[in-house]
Amino acid sequence: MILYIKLAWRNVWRTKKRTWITASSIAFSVFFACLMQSSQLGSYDNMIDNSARFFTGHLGIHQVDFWEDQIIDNSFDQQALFELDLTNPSILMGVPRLSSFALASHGDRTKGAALFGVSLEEEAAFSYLERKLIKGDYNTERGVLMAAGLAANLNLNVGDTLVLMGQGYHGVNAAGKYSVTGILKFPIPALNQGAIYLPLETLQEFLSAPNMISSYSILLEDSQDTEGMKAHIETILKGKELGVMTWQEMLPDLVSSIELDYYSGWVILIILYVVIGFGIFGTFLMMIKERTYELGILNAIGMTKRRVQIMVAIEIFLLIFLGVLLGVLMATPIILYFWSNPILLSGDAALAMEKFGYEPIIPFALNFKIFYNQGISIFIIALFLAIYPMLAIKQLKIIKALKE
Amino acid sequence: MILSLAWKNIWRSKRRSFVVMSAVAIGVWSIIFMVSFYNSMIGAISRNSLQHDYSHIQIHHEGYLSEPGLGFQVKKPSMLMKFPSQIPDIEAVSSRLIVNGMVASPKTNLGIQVYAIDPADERAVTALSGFLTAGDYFTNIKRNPILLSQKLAEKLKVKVRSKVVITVQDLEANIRAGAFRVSGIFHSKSPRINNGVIYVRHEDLSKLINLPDTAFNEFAYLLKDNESLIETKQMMEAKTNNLVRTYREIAPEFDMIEEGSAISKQVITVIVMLALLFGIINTMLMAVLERTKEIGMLRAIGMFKSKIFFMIVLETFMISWVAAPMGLMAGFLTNLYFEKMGGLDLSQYAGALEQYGGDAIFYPEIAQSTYLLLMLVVMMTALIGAIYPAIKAVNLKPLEAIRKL
Repeated sequence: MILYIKLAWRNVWRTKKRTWITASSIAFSVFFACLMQSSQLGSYDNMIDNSARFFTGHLGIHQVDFWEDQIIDNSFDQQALFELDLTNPSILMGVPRLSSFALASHGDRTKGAALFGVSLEEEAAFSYLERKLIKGDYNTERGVLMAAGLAANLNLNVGDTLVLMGQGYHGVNAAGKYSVTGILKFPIPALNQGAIYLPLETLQEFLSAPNMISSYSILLEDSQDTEGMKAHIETILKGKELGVMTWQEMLPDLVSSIELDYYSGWVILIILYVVIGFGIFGTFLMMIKERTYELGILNAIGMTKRRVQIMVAIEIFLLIFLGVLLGVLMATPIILYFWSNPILLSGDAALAMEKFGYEPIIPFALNFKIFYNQGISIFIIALFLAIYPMLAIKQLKIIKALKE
Repeated sequence: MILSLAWKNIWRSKRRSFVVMSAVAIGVWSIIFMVSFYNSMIGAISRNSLQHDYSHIQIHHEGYLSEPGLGFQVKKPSMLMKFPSQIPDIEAVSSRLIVNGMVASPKTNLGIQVYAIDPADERAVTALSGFLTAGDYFTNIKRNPILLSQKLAEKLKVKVRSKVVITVQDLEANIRAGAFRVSGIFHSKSPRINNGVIYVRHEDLSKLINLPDTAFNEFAYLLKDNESLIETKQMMEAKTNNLVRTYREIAPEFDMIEEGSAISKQVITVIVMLALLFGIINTMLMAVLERTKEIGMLRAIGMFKSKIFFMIVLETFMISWVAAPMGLMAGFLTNLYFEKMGGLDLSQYAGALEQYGGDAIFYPEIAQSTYLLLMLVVMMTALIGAIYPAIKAVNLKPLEAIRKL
């Protein structure tokens, strides 16, 4: 075996030019494919993380009817959760949330707003809410934090008084006056135009729903590990009127846009690989044709065809390996750089992203899976293409080959 | 002479030429496929939002932009209503009174925009009546009918004939609430409208908030075609002192989406061409190295360097000349196939696509000029790919080359 490898190694470096041409075309496709997948996966992670942190959590515990019917009457007493032991190494943290809707007025202006009752301290770690603060104070006892777009529409500023009107628990009228203590700026327009954050107790009081929460959002160590944890929590919740849902169930549109984008990315990659594949095939073709004489000699002096095949197969493997390695080596520093410094979009492109509800950044993911995917894909293609040289060797006619 | 020499050289090594040709043809075909796909998606998004949401031209009071609401109503609305009979390119007009408010069902309440409209006019401009999935278009309910989207209906848990309460603020900042009944439920192609617009008759809303029948804060105009957009806008500006804006001015994302897709298409083209370039250089270099002896011979018997160079370039060119039209043809046929088969159906992802205002069924769209452009791009790529192998061929030392093998 060592001999085969030695022979193959020498053969590869005997024709340096051909080796580099082949390796560089493989490297180019691997390099590009890695960058593309990294930015795709990075965007998905970012989208999932944003949605999970802000809206649903990776898992959400609700009263059983809540998801079908998201009204204040379908909230539950958070006391029910305190009695349970939800600690698990996969669970990073969980926060209680109460959400409702009300009319927000200031002066002669009124707008509809989504109210989120949260524990501000915990939310700073869960959804990084504190980082969205652009004015005023984050920690407030009885005040509210308003989204910047909504505040501008209502002509409100820090220190002004806001009037909220809506429907409370079991149809009770809800109305209250609150001072605005801080302004939050969200990249997602739906939030920026209509969110008001209040301390949980303040909102419970406003809605006449003491101790009630609409959801308990859980952040997991791994956003993909939802099914297992869901089953685990379901056994804990047994006997209660509570259910647990995964972010995939709660955000089906997100799941399908990720799938759509992922597959359309693969279509581009497959096209790239096919075109590159022809290039690689061309090299194999030459490799055999150019070396008919040499391979014929080997065969003639007693190396069986099977052994010649093994030698050529190792050569092909070395070529592919070199190309993949080169591509990965070129892609890694770039991915590393953009992983720690996501591309921030500005101007028109940023506006377009925001219109579709995304943060205007292009984050990159650092994930072994990316390199693994590309390595495997190229390997499969090469394996397929290697059929030709193997067949050609098998059909080699010694006499004819030696005459060349 | 060089021409026929190059042509014969190509067919001497059929298998190799065939490999390069296939690569070029598949590359070209895939670019056409991707570009058509992108065009189709972007076209649908722009069309949907133009035809079913923004319309070609809108007129507002100039103060409306900074403070949308009832405060800034359009000046001389009766003039604006007459535009379709005065300006030839206008197809239809819809006058609206838009106010922010809240809609409440027995289950829950939501923040929405109330569009008070004339049903017949709105139908002519945004084809709203065509999107009904249940109920009908304002006729089945006598008093205070309302139209809302499927999405909102699900959130509110209401059906046709259900009662909802709409709360808005009048001009004096008094809160006014009125009971309405769901006449129809629609599913528009505009996500903005699905997410937060409900339609009521103008007379019902103006009664509720005590405004005259002639109070409007938005006029939307549908044009016969897009060509006369700017002239029509200028004609309107000459006749009114309200603010006249085209859909491109109202929603800058039209430009952004188009620009974004143009960049994506260029990126795909460049990537595929780079991959092709590698294949071409690769193969042509092999072709030159393989023919070392022969090229040495040609040089030895007195062929000029420039002619050798030209011969190699020509060979590369010819391969692309043969292959590119095959790819173009394949792309054309693929598009034709999807057209005949009723489009590429991605209904599986309808949810995601509708979220962006796109359609679930893709009809390939491509400009004739793209074929020509692609042909030129392939030529360029072939030329660039030919240079290095040609230089290699020229630099062969005749004597050494002949002696080799």
